Amino acid sequence: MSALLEVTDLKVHFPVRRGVLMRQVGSVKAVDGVSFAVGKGETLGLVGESGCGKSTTARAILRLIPATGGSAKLEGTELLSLRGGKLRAKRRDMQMVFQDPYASLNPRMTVFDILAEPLIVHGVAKGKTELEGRVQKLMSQVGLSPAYMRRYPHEFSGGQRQRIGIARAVALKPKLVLLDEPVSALDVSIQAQILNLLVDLQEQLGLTYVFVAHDLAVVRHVCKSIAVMYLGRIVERTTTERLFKAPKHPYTQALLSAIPIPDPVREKKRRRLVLSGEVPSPLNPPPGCHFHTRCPVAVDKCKKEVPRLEPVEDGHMVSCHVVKDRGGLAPDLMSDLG
Amino acid sequence: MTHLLEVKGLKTHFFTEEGVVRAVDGVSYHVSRGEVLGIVGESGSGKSVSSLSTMRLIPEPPGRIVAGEILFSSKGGPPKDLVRASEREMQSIRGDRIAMIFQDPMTSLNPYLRISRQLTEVLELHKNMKGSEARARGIEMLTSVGIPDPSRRFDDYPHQLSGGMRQRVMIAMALLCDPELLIADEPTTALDVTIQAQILELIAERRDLSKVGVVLITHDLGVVARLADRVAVMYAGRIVEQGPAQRIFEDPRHPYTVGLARSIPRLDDDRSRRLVPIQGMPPSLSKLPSGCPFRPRCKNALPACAESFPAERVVARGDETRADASRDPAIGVGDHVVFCHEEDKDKVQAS
Repeated sequence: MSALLEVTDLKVHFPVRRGVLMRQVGSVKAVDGVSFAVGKGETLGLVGESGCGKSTTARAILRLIPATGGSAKLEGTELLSLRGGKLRAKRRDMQMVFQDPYASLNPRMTVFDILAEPLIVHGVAKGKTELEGRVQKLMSQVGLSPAYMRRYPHEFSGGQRQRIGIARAVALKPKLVLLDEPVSALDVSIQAQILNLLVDLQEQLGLTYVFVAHDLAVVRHVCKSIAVMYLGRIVERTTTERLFKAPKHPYTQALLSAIPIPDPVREKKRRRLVLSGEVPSPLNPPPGCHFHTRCPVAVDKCKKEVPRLEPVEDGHMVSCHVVKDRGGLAPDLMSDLG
Repeated sequence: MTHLLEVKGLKTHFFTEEGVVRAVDGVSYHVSRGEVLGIVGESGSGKSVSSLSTMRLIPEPPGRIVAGEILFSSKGGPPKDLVRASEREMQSIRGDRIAMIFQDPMTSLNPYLRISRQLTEVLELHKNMKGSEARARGIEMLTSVGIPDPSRRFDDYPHQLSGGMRQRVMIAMALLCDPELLIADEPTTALDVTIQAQILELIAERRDLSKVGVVLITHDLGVVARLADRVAVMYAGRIVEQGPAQRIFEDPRHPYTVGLARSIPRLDDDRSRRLVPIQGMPPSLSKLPSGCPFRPRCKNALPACAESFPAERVVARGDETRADASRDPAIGVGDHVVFCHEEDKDKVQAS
């Protein structure tokens, strides 16, 4: 089966300029050779901590920021080289939902204006009656009362605003939707409403999602496969089942053990791998494996050679010298996630 | 036994043009030495306002503590009601006996002042410590909260530090005078999970070493499970359920507590489980529904729920609920109480 979205060796480097002449003195390698594929109707989770490049990856695919190199193909069409009218036409097929439902909606536009705009721009519907009909349908599809069509974003709660953002993204029946932390700004009791809505819409409209998030418990619930990023690179990529059952990369293991489980008895018994230190600056990342400065099992090779993302078992991709040397076995750091 | 902090019937209201906002509307809780009380709630539940009231940091006007007592027993002495304390008395308590750490360390550290100045100022004010003595104590504190290369970091400005480091500085500042009570308001919400794990370990370590009592305010049930001995669940300005942590998680009796637990995805549940959201959204605090504020979203609502806020009902007495025998037996002891008209446990816990 060919993938709907295929990203190969994607790179996004931001130049760093200094001095009066603004000479380029270096670059921040926000995304440094990221590859993955997502099948039609599936959801890939892109996870990692702040600054790992997960949002930048999503934005580069959508051409919201320019990529430095690599390729991103949607149904075989190269997205990174599209220009002008062709790019605009392709935007119909790929949409984004943003994290902050307060900042991503124009406060001066009514819900009707917000949702009708993509329909008008892409010539899908015209005329007041037709547009109103489409907007009403969209609103009920995302669980908003069409009676609120003439209201402004500030009249809605955070969860409702995120519903508007989702309605805008699916208005053109896109093939691919990039969800950039779609629930992390919402209250916990509202998060579940939005997650359920996303799952339902995916089923109804046959959508393919790339779900960017830092919350692994949320990602686990909605994604079929997951790629874990650290400082611009993917360190581990596999199915959700495998990642949580048998994480191999030391960073993934630490990440999973850091997440608290809402169960006091289990929490007190759990062995935890608490990483020391912090994520190094992307401006001056450590050589070799980016993670070696915090890795409890790093060996000499890790400081010199960049490990490649390679399959260790069928479909389980890991980028770690130690795992590779152990024949694909995870280093035994702890794994008491029950 | 007197508790380190005992809040009784606290009401903090804000008098605005749109009406009276009942941010905290009659809450009672207590914390002992060396104990962590987790206050859980969503935005607008009143969890932050209740702790700002303890510090007497409510902007007045529009806010005002309209009822209740906040009894604080410093050094085992007689309880003092902070609601009636003078501003002078509060100044000597704040930062010295009771310290607070906030969610966003960038906005709570002064960006114009070096870390050194901000730390030594506290010592000058409360401990009358100056010069090299204050400097040494400041660096010692930075070391104890795990800041690498503390003597160099001491003269940095806040912007030169990462988010996790700034939060450590905040904690160092809070602990400088060896406070008896630490109020931590969403201390890890702005941090990445691997850094969150470090900060939570740090708070646990301080609790064990210096027996500081901790009020941990958070929306994250996982964080509460990791650290709290007892839990109070807040909704729309009220505590709706309170008790030892293990009981609240294993045998919740309020429909909101049950709903909250069901709505969050967790690492150890069935992945394909459909999340069960709590329908609707929290009410506006200036237009609260009659009776129980959770009623409009509650699956168990009864006719009585519209008439009155339910009275406190004890589910289990404190001495029956001792949770963690490995620690001080006086810690984590408290009644499991719930404020709900529905008394049938099976009805509340049924999905």
